[in-house]
Amino acid sequence: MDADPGRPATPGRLPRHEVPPAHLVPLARGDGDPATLEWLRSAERSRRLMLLRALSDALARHRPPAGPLGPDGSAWELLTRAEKRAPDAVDAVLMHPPTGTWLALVLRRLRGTAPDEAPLWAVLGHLGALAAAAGVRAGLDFDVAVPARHGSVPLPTLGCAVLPGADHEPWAAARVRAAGGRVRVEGSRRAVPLPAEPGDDAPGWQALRRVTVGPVGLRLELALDDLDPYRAYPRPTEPSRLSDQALSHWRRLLAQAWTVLLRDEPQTAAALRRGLTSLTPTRPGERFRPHSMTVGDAFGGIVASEPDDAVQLAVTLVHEFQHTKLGGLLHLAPLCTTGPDAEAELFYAPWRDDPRPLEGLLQGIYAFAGVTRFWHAHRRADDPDTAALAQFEFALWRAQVGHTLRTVHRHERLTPLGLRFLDLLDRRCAAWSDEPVPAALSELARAAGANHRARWRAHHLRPAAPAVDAAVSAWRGGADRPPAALAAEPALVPDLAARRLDSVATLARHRLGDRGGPAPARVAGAVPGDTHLAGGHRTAAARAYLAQLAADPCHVAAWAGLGCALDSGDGDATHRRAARLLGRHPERALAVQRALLAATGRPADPLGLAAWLGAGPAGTP
Amino acid sequence: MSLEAVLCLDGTVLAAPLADLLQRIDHPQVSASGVSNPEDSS
Repeated sequence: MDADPGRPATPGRLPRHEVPPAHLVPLARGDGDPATLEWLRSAERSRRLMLLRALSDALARHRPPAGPLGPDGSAWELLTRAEKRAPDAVDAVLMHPPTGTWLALVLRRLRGTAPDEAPLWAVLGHLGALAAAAGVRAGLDFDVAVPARHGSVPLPTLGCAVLPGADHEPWAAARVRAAGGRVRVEGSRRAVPLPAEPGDDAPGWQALRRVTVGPVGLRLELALDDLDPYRAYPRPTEPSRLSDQALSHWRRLLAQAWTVLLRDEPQTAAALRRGLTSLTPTRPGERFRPHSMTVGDAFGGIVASEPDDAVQLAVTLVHEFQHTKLGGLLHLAPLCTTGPDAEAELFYAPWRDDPRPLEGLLQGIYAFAGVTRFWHAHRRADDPDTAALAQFEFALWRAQVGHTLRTVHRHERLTPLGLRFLDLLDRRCAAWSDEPVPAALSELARAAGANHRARWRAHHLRPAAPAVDAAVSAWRGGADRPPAALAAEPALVPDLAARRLDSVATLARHRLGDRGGPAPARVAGAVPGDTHLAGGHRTAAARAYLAQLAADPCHVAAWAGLGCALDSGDGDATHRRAARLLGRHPERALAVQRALLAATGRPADPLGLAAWLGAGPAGTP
Repeated sequence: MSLEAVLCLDGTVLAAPLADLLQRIDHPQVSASGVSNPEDSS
């Protein structure tokens, strides 16, 4: 729809948005200028209009019970009336990121493919809130029914009325009435007048906060949305007003992050100005472990935890904006095919604890290509506070993205567009491969990456039970090497208990980013050996991992860490064999140790077992 | 194209693109970083 306003549609056929090379190429290289973002936004607008039409059709077909809001068709009428008076008013509401999330959710609810967590009438009734917001923006007189949740009545893009009292129903009906420029939100017993300027807070009214940062001509303007019920995923969320202190903190960090982006990533900043319109703040995560999220349906919006500092926020904006761009492209054309077995094929993703399907892996590759680009540029910023960290992050993500790209870049499920997309991205990433990184930081990044991979394998990969049993028998019988069957491809069995597999990388960030500061009291998921490994002390790390295995012979992180600690090229042949086995196949050592313990009640010496398992097939050293 | 125009479009013209759109709606893309909750990712 609206694909090319200058090109007439074929009669009886809807015009479609195309994917022209002028936009595909920069996007596939990880970039995208304001014109590309405008093209994506135009396609998103068409998509949302189509979803509204789909909703209208579904309601006409199914006629769900009206609920407390009553059989009120005035929302549709109000929306179209507002569009005639002020098209921009409806566009602002339509393109508000949470509106996209709501549209998708309400349609899934009607199709029975989303859980019933909020009453359907309240989810459907959000259309009234959108219409009311458009009506207020257009300056119309109207009267429309809207849902209230615990007395809160959101008007998307404007703010949220909070009806007085403390005895509100979880869900109830309210009305928004506008006449002669005055707007009131009315509950069953009480009402709240909107201020003349809805952008300002007033008694009973919480305005949607907007943040503007940067110099004239290079400003970033976005909503800091702590109010909209569809600002997060996957269910409607109550307002969670930021304190004044937290708001100031966010404003300050956004201003600083924007300065960083204008200096280090001016092209990305230019695209962000067109493509990012809303940020939903959440509580801070653990230091160096921020949370963030992008929902494809909410084009233009991101969710992010309160960052540690401006540079972390800058890289989060870059990361999530990559998802925004790719999500927009995927709404136009798929990069891979789907099928009944598609979700069964899972991959290692170096940025996740859990195995990922191809679709999710592609999102991660694209996002971390952007992260690599950010750190590549930031290394040159000569920022003494982040210089070492930037080198580490660049080396880590360059390697991780490159490795993951090579894993899937000719995958049979990729569409022609997907193949071209990954080829272009691969070429962009390959250009970073020769960039020098100080040896110590490169080595630290390698250790952190290897440790994550080893822990992931130990958690999620399972050698076949008969092969493990045969290995136990061979070990107990004094064989000089394990059975060949143990080398077969292990099964991937997702371990839902796998958490915080990035603890060595996180400890490295503490070391590099908190210069001179005390060692972190606790990094979730880290074991004592990890601290030594992140500090570059492999011998101490090996000692600590072995001590941990003496206390807990099947400790996953200790087995994985031991391989990394031994991986220095030093030591005797036993060490080298153990290092090789644990670096590549820690899951074998863990599985055999578990089976030995179950069979005999006594664990094997970890180094001896790993070295034995590391002996190759008969005839090899 | 306006909302009003979309609401008035001939349903037969829209049938195929709407069916495609609705099928995709059932598979939301959610990219979460820093969390391990399977509910948070697609």
